[in-house]
Amino acid sequence: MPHRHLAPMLAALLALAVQAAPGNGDSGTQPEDRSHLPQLGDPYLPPAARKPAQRPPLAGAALQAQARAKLQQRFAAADPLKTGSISLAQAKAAGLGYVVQHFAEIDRQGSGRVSFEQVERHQQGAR
Amino acid sequence: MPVSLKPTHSYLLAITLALAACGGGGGGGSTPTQPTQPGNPADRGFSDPLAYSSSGNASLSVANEGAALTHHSLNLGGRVIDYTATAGHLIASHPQTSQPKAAFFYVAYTAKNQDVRTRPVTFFYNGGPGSASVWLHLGSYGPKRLQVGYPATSQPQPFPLVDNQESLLDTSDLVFVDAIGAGLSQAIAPHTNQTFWGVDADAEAFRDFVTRYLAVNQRTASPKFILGESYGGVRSSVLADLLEAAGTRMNGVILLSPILNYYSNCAVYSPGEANCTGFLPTYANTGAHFRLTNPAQTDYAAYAQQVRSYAASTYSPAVANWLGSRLPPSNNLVDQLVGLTGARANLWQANLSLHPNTYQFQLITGTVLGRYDARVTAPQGSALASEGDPSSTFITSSFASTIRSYLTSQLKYTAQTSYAISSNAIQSWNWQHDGQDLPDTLPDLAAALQQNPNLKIMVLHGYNDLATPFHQTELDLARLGNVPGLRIHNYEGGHMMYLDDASRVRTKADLAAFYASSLN
Repeated sequence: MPHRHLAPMLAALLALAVQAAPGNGDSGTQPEDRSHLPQLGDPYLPPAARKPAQRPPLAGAALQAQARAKLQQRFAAADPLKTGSISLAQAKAAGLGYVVQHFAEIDRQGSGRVSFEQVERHQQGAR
Repeated sequence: MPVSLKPTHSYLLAITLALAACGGGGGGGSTPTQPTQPGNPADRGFSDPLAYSSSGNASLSVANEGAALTHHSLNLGGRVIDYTATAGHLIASHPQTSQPKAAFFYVAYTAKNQDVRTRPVTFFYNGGPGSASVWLHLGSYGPKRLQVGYPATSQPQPFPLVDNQESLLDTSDLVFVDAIGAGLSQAIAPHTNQTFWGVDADAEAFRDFVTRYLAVNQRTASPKFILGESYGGVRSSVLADLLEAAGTRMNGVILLSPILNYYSNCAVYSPGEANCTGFLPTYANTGAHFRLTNPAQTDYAAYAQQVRSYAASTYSPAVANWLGSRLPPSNNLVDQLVGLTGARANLWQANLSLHPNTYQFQLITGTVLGRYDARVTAPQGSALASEGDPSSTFITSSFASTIRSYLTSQLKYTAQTSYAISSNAIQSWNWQHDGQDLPDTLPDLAAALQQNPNLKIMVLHGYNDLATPFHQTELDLARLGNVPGLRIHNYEGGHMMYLDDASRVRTKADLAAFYASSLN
């Protein structure tokens, strides 16, 4: 579901209309210097940062797949030659602390390498 | 068998000196201790020789891990908790290169004589981004709190600092840590504060602080929690994923008035740009508070449920339609919205996706409602209304002055500069995250849960918060599907619902239950 539907010109026209609405006064104006406010008026975006979403917000199974892809990507960064598995040294170099700590348990066959799927199984069955 | 928590001060001093030696000079060489002040003879104050800056281009050429260590006790309804307070810095370093990133300022409250294997430790931070964590530190669950007395605004200031009967110190050790550029936290050269003013760099630095804290204090085996407020929700989601990947198993993530997705909170856009459905139950309950709804409503929870249903079935589709077509809403729809919220017909006719700023200024003619706590009001044109949020203006000076005097007089920590309640980070923040211009952190939360299915999530919101509306978080979290153990609690009050005396008692009880459920 897209969050913003308006072409910029329409948005500008609407802003004028809202400003001109009876009884609406100066509502909607916020001070640009927020340094005096607790937590800086959080949440707040400077006008230049207000941008439309590049993709729809995923939910349910699609969101879970997106999250898994993120984890796969992190794992793959430790495996530059795309072998499908990483060594303890590669896990250390990539900062994959979970893999480093549990390497021996994950690598049950003692092959010296672990795959993403093995790590995932360990995490989801762990503790 | 209880394992006593070893004071870390002498260890920290050694690091201080080592770093000063490596740093090649620059003001770090003087002895960091000062004569013990009156009080507990075991107290060791710390006079930090360094000056800290909130500027984007600020950078420490030398840092230290010095800290003041003081001894205290808190009487919680007859149960005395003896604890230490540690106030100072720890250095967050890159996990692979060990290059120092920043000196994080923190205050840690640690109960004495606890078993570190079962005693939880919780890291607290506010949001902004750019805010120091003073609001949580002196307002929520620390051993002391400022007696604010919301929603009244007649109390003299500064508010008294009192023993906190709702402190979480009976449940967990508490670490209040300030973001880089806020409080007394600062980047270390060659980095500048600006280096860490972005969604990812900020969360990575917090990960490295947590890692350092756990290692120095021998707490890696302890149950671990993070509690972030507002933008702290974004930080927590990203941080939870990073900590799990780094091998730091978390027990719980507590989201207090969080924003989780900048694309879904219409308050960060201009009026008429985005769908404000997530605010409708907040408008309704706030209208109920001011007795403007028809019929009158007294049960917030029941009314919120009624309005959630109405929002889903009727209001949200109508707003989506209006954003596309701009056709005036039907009189019937407007009548329903007036009855549900108390906001006048002309406001809905002008903008069916009623913006919280409009609601805040227009619900009651001549009166400005608080943005953080809509129950806190001030006459238009009054001093309290001059900054646009009476609920924030009312409390700021007390928090800012009290943290400074408290650090000096009670925690015996001083630096060459005073504690900064905020930086200007929000103006130059790098919002990019996960391939988008703005952070949507639901995938981060999902990734954290995939890595650690035992991770528990708790959400606390105020019914009268016009900044981060409770229903928007519910809609955001619904994207995760079923999350075992997820607890969502809403309370009378605003963004900082813990400033409401009755709600703070309830939040404390709910938090204690959450901790109990998360210690597995």
